Amino acid sequence: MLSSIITISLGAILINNFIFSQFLGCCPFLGCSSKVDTAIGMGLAVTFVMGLASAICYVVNEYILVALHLEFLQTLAFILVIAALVQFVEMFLKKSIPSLYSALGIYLPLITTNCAVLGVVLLNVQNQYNFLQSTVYGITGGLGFMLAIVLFASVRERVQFSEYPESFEGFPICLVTASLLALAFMGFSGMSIPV
Amino acid sequence: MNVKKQFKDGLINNNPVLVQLLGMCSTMAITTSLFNGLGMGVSVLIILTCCNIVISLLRKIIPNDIRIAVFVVIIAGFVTIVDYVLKAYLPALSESLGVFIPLIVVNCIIIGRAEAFAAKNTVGASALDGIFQGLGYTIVLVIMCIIRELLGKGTFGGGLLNGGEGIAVFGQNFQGAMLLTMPFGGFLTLGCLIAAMQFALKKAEEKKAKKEGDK
Amino acid sequence: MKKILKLTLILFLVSAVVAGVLGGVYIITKDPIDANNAKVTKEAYAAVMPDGVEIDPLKAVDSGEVKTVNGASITIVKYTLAEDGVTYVVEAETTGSQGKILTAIGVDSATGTCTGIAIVSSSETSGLGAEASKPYFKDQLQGTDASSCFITKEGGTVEAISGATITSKAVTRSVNAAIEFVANLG
Repeated sequence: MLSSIITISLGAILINNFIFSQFLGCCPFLGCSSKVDTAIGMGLAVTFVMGLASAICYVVNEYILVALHLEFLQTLAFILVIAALVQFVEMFLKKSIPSLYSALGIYLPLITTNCAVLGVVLLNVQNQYNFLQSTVYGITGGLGFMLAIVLFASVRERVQFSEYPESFEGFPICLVTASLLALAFMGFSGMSIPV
Repeated sequence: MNVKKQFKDGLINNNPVLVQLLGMCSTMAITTSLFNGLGMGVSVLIILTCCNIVISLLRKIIPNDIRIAVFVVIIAGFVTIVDYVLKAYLPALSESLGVFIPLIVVNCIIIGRAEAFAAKNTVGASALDGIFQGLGYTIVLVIMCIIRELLGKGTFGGGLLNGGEGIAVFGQNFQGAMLLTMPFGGFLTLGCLIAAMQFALKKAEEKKAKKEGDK
Repeated sequence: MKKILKLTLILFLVSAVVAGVLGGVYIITKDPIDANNAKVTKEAYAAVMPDGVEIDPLKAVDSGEVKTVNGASITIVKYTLAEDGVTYVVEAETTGSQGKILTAIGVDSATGTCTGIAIVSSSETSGLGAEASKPYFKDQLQGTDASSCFITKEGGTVEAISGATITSKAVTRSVNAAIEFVANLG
């Protein structure tokens, strides 16, 4: 059991990083990475929502959808759970931890349409993970996302000061930077841990 | 009716991927063979058009406070329909696109167009918008696929032509730059494509400014 | 309060209509999907058999036994005996580089060798791990036994797919598990 948890964690953070190897969550990755501070905020918010969403969607899937043979409603149910969850987290933070809310505030609504969140939930079902494995995959997947976005933001802060062809201004240079980071992360793909 | 303008917007001036920068995840993830690219592009085109029509029809009934939630439910509905139809009648495509079909739900193109266009315009215009934006998306996917497949594997039309193997353009012994079919290649190809697009748009603008200056 | 009720009602109605439509689509597409899956399984079973041997996938028995090969755990999902009374088909599931790989493996119980493999389902990367279903890789496995069915790095005779060592290991280990499983059947 423990070994499967370790495998899932390492896989989600390094080997199959959500952004650099699965392309899940690219929009916020490119949109919210101009500063390291905002990147950390976004990473934290996503990790939190991914962990919670994995746990809740596991329960919804296992005890409602599968039990009632309504598997065809999976996508619909999951996205509604995620949207409601994000709304709930937003309200909760606003009331009880205002400082965190003001730091994360603007990113929270964006998380609903972050494909990493829906992606992790769908992958949990596909890989037939149990409750613990799903939750761990959600949290570590989020940590992997955070690692990627923070690394990327710190590289991007420096890219601003370097010279590159004019046409690459803005997004293109970011994508090229991201491609080099993806190349670095490919180094992890040779790692294999016995399951 | 400015069909021509909408057409040009969707394909070039306001291309969903290259200019609006929406729907990047799927653009980079699945563009490894022509079959995947075309399949994904057409799926998105159909879903986008249907969603635009329905949302435009309902735009006066949907209360403003919960419009995003209603949009998401409608989108999720169409995506699931396409998902099941593909599973039933095109299992090969469904297998190779995998989790990226249900993920169309959170593809920013669809919710973006719903919010920016369909919620404000008539049914006819919204339907056209769906078709043209979908076409713009499909074309970018196809270009990405062709580049990555050609350089990465040395083939053209993988999954479609020559019994799924694709036509070996450089001969059988060509060893492609495998890297391009990996995530690295996805980021790099899209980056270069957007740069090319920015370059072209800028050139066009300069030309136009010069023309006006001459007058 | 009244407004919230109204909004909830509208959202509920929209969801209910969508759910109803999806139910309809599900019922219509269910038969073709089941037929597809049955066809895939049937073709996989036929592909791993020696020429001319008939096999019926519907007779497959669930197992659920877990084997460990070189530290990787492999679940034997189903198995069945072909009509020649010698060849077994074993469906084995293990973890590849991107997720689960389900392989159908033909095993000759008399000689303890593999008669062929077919990937039933996997989510491996196209162009890398997905190459496991190409002839140049899977034909190497034909005729291998428990000692030779490893990639060369692990001391066997199988050339791993370049760039997809993890997938190659997963598939060869599955074959090993299947051979061992059949040997223990008696």
